[in-house]
Amino acid sequence: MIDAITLSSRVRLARNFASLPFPEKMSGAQQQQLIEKTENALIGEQHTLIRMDTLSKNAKGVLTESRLISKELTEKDGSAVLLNDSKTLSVMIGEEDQLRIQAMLPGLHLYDAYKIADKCDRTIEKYEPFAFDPDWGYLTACPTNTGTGMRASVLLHLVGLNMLSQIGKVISTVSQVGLTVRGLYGEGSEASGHIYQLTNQVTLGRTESEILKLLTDTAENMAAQEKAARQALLEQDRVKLEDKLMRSFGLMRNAYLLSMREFMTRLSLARLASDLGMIPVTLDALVKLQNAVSPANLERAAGHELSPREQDELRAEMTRKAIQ
Amino acid sequence: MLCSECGKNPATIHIVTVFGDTKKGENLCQECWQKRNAKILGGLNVNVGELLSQLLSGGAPKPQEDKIELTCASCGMTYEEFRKTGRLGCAKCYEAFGEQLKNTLKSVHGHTHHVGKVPEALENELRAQRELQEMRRRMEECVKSEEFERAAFFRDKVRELEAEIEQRKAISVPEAKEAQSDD
Repeated sequence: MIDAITLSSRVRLARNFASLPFPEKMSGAQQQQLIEKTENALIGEQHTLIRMDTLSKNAKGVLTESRLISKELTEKDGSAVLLNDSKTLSVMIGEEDQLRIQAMLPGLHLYDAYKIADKCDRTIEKYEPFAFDPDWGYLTACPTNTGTGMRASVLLHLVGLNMLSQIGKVISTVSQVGLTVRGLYGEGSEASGHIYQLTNQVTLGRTESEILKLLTDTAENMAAQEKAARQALLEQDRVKLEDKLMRSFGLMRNAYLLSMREFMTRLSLARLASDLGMIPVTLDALVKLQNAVSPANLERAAGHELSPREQDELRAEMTRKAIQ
Repeated sequence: MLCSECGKNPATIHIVTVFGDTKKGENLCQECWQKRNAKILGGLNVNVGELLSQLLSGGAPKPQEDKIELTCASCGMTYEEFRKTGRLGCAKCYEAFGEQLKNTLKSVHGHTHHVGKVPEALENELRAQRELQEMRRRMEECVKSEEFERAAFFRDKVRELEAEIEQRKAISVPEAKEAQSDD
């Protein structure tokens, strides 16, 4: 079952083989070697290798929307990704660092996600050593990742704190303990649909377990505050809240044009309504709908490119069908 | 390539000194670069008189025109390039720009030492090194507080760990030689 507030956990390890330069100074032949090394290191682990230059624009978009790869990877020449069958693990090859080992799980399960990424890291390291310095740890292309090379994050749906205008206070408190809060698609992205990404800023001078504990404790705390905010909204004026959520749901169910931006706002309120038992739609169904109506997935369903207007029309049609 | 200053150690840093219109390239090892760096940063006060007299005689260019460009000898990345893109070219850049990066890392992370996971192959060695540092620290504390019996206990631990580390080195040196002869 999907958690109403802590949506997913992700752990990403930045690694570089000591024998090759970082992607910034890598030749085409070295890029090829990098892919081969990674593939050989993970032989027998049931992975599928996908080279970015073999994918259509739409296929890249679908992988990006599911957060299995970053947008930066799709823009790099000669880059690739290795995916496991359950799609809980992806190894991005030739992004900012040679490798970005990424594990993702639903709910708040950072330790389990770390275990998946760590196992993959150890397997590759046995094949060939990574660039490592006893003082500075794992050496990465950008010094902001040096040390553990680990970025761990949790996605949280904080609609209640938003409605009570308490989100700013929460974000500034969190930044004081060395963590950051940003939008769904990472750096620079806005908090679409009141979904926030909580992530660690510091990678040097703290152990992996210290970072994971700090993130887990903070995420649990934020989730508790969000729960309290939802309760406070109900207690303040249940009818007013119900009116707001049901009006929005009515619009969502009857619209003939829905931009992604509007959809995300309405979805956020629908998630809250579902969590409070006000609508007969499960959180699971709403998550599936969100994936289905994201731009790249919409075009895949249509079988061809769509203009923004056509996308809004199809999104509204699929939404009407899904939540009637 | 050997260091052009001492001629002994391998060169890991490429320096280009720009002096007016002329450029001079040098390949230095970490040690000689640090000595040079200390001279440049720490020697300004000493040379003020000399610089002034050169300036007044009109023969020498102004000191602001001096510019040192650090280059990683392994991948060719310059420090200026790194400052623009925020990305390093290879693992050796960390040696080439070591002093400068230390400040960056300190300001970003608030720390300059890794305490997390280490590669499996280095686990035992690094554990012994970290333990050795800790035992030395404790020994010094005990000496300061005149707890000599405890200090002796930590001294013995230090000796044990030093012997362990030496033993590891003795094992790994022949291994490295074998690997070299295979090339």
